[in-house]
Amino acid sequence: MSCAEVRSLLALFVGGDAGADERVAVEGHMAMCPACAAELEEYREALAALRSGLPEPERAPDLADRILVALRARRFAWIPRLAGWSRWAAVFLIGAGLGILAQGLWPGREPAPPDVPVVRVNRVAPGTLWHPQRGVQPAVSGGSPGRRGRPGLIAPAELRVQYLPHAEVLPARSGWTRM
Amino acid sequence: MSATTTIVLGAPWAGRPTCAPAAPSVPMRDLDEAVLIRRCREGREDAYRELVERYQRRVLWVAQSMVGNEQAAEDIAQEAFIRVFRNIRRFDLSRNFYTWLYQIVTNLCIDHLRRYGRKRAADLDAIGPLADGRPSPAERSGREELRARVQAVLDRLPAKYRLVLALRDLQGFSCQEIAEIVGCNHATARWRLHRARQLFKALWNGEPVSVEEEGDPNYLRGEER
Repeated sequence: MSCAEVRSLLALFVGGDAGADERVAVEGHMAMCPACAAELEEYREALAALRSGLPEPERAPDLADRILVALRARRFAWIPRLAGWSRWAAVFLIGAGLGILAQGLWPGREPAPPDVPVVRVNRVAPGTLWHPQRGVQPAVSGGSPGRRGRPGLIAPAELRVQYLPHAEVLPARSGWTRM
Repeated sequence: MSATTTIVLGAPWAGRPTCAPAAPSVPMRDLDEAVLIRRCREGREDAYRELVERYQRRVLWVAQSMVGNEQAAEDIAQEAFIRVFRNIRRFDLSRNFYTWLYQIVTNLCIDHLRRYGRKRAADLDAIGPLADGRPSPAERSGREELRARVQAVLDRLPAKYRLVLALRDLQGFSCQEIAEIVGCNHATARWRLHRARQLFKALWNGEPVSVEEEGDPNYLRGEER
């Protein structure tokens, strides 16, 4: 391989990016050509200078905070772009929407029952879970769900009753657990 | 009927039962990248933070080497992560996350360079002669001088060459990965690396070289061979 051919490979060779055949040819040539070896050394020095001159920077300690603040701010960035009455209309609509949503979803119950993870009862009338606003039935899995207003009976199976935070349990009466 | 039936009481919106055994928590730093991305999609800020922590130094590194300005690099990094998080639901998990991130960073760097122009390349003569291997009187000032000289050389290179130098010689990406990030083929990435090192070495050694015929200094995409 001629000096010109070898020199055209040095830029890739110096960083380990030459192919296997090219690498062998360049290494063989270096042993017998001081001029090309000197050029390779220049490449090595330049590359070393690049790597040591631009070390990996320190982390910016508050970058994550700034990004999260900017993300939150941009969620509502469109509000100032509304002008005049449309801005107030948007605010009113958002407020009304939130109000409706809150009214529909807010459980409005007594504080959650104590964290008694599992209770065993003999008989349960499913569908008697009482909700102040909705009268929602319990989610029943593995048994026959009773219909609202006409509770069915799952008996005499041993039932495992698991309380969720918003469940409200009424006292048991005559062997039934009413909820 | 089975011997034991489980009834879960509570409104459907009540969420997970408080009495359910908590899933074992894995520290964020140990989580797989795909898991982190899924958590970001759920809007979890701790996952956002972890992704920023993992990648911010490398993002700052490539941005600094591209725009040559620490403050601008921080702004670019910030904007890059914001774009990532705003679009993370559309990210294809079968792709490499860092490739996507670096594509965003390089696009932002190019936008910055087009908008504000390149930081005026420092005059190599004004910085003073290279240390010639001799130790500087103060090591810190020596590092600053070396950094300034390297940055001055990089500033004279077209953006496409600066980028491949930063990705290959500073961050160690392969030519194939560089091709994916830059949006060119493998041969083009190799050619750019070859030319970038040639130009960097020539400018570093003060050899007469013209970079004007290399085309638009802020041009990044496309094939030149």
